[in-house]
Amino acid sequence: MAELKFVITGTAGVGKTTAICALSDVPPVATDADTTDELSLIKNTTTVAFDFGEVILDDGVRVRIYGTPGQERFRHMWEIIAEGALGLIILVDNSRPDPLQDLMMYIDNFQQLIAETGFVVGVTRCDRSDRVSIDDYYSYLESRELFCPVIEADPRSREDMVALMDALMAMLECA
Amino acid sequence: MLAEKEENSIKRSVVDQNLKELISSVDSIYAVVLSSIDGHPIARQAQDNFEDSKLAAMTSSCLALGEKIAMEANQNGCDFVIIQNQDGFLALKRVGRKLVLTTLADKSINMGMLLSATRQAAEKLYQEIT
Repeated sequence: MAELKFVITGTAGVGKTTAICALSDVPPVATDADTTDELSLIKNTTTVAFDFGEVILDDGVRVRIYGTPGQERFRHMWEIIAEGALGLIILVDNSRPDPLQDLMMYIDNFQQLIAETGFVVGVTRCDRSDRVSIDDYYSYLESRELFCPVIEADPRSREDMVALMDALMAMLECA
Repeated sequence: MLAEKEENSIKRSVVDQNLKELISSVDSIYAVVLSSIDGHPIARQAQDNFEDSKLAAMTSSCLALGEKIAMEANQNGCDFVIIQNQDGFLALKRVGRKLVLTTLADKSINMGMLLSATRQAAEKLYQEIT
């Protein structure tokens, strides 16, 4: 297999675009537009179509990484982007009011992709809130009869994002 | 706060007036939508009932992609994103930094007419509200 396609999703502002910038070995493509709603309190631009980057592995395999828009009104893009993907990275912002609810929303929306392939969860901003622990994520996933690695990650860190990708690839090899 | 409200209501009437002019300028144009660049519907004029909230989000994605594809192909100044179908056309045009104007026309329209009517409305809107 010479090409792999992974998808990164998660709430608006969690750091999907940042993660792709950190990971990509080629100049990333971002389709961002100025925010005009309450999201502008958090950030100035938001992804409206997709972000795109490419990681070239040691053996020359190219991994194409697509970042989805976070906001639900762009769910039309979720379906388009999920097509043909081999794995999903869900980023969850631990400092939001109900991160488990956020996780559930993305698990439900990418149900088909998750069932057919595999996924990993990256938890961001653990330094800002410890109300929900990594164990809580595992318990939640278990209650949904799902299993996947849950890893603390900083989207700005290439090392952290590579760790997530490695975990995802290990999951896929097991499956 | 009051001044801001007043200003918004004036802008609203300017927007509605411009969209009305656009939809009545050419028979084959059956709907026009003004939405924010991040996919929220703002105003619409349509001959029939017309649901624009999903369309607003989708045109936002489409315009952003069109603009990025143009850049990737080293073509500057994306002017329109045009979707041509068996049943008609959609023309998407950016208005300033924050807005997108979408014109929907049936298949009887002349494409030049569609683009020029959309351009005129977009330029007028830009001058009057941004």
